[in-house]
Amino acid sequence: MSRLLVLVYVLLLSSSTVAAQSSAGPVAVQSTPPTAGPRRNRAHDARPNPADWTGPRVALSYRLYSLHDSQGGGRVSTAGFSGFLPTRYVRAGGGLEAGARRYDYADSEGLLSGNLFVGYQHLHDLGRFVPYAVVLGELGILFEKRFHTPQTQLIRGAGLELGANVNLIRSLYVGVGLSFMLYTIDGLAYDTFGLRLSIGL
Amino acid sequence: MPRFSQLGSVAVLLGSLAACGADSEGRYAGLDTAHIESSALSYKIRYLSPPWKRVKDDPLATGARKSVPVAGGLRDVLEGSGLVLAIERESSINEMGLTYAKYVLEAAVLRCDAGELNGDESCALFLADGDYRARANSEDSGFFGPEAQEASNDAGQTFYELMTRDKTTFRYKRLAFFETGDRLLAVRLYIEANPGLADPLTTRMIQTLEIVDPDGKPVSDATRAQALGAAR
Repeated sequence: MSRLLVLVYVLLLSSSTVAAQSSAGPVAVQSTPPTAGPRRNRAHDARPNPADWTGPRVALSYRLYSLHDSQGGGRVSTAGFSGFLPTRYVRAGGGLEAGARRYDYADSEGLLSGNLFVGYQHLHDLGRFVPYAVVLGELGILFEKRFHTPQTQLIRGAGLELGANVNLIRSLYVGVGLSFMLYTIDGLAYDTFGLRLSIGL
Repeated sequence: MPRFSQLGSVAVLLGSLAACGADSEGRYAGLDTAHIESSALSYKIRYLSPPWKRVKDDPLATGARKSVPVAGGLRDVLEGSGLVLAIERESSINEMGLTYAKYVLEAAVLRCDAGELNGDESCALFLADGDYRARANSEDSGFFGPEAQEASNDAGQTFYELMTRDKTTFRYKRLAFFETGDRLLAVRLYIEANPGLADPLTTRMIQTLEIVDPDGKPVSDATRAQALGAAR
């Protein structure tokens, strides 16, 4: 929880830095000949308009889903970093996730995965709210121990994620997404719903 | 706008990543099964492979080894009933010139004489009690209490188990003696390992051993009660 607070603080700080740099604009304008009308208009233009937001560029996220099975596998929690292509209405990009899968009979397992996604995001019409729908492909490695013997398993999956981002200030946003994924691990099939919480710029 | 063929390629890519496999919620999903059918009794055990591997050329599995140590002595194994699984150690360092597998599992069907048993006592209980007493004299014991403990497997079949530790090799030994449909027969399961064996994963593996009928289905309580009644 404290790490999440630190993350929020860092993002707010970086956002306010961007805001401070932007606010330096009018100072520079003051050095130009005083023309009250245009200056007011420029200041007005510089004010952020949620409708101008072109969507996310980077995000940090927390994802919760289940890889439960009859052999002790359980809930998965991951932290991830995602990057988005500047493709406006087409929401496309990729990310890396690292986390842990609960295992009933021993210590939790480690999980490292990468994903690619492509879909649609609805910009502009809804103000600060940007709903999206993407299809995801994921590939990763599960690090586990069975009978005191380390093992690795390939995990692959595909699915759909629906969600929405809310633009808070400047380019800072938070988001929530719900996903349905199909995974395969060592010849076993898993279908799971998941929750993603994200914050980014 | 992407062409339909490109969308098709994406769909194929995602489809190849998507799930294709056995249902992960199945009771023994992802486990291998060893089904041993001897003339007198059949049993199954499930195991995770890897790390477990079936050792088909072990003398107990081939039938070259005719007996196993029980209750301070040797007891004959029913022909064709031996099974050996092992997890090989990861390092190649020998201890005292000896090399042990990290885990070894042996299973075999044993027979008791009617004269050995007291009253309604089953062969499994008789062997478990005798084995515990004999091992308690020479090995660290009492991990599960002062006597063999009764437990049941996934099919509700009863077994008696104990755990000891060898004072010279420091290896743990966990034994389970399963009751069968025949009062004079028992399945002995023996696991030996360097790591401790009182862990949930080992317990789970023991619980997957089932006494089965010729069709491969677990022998029910009613069948066993009938058989035990007939034996009395």
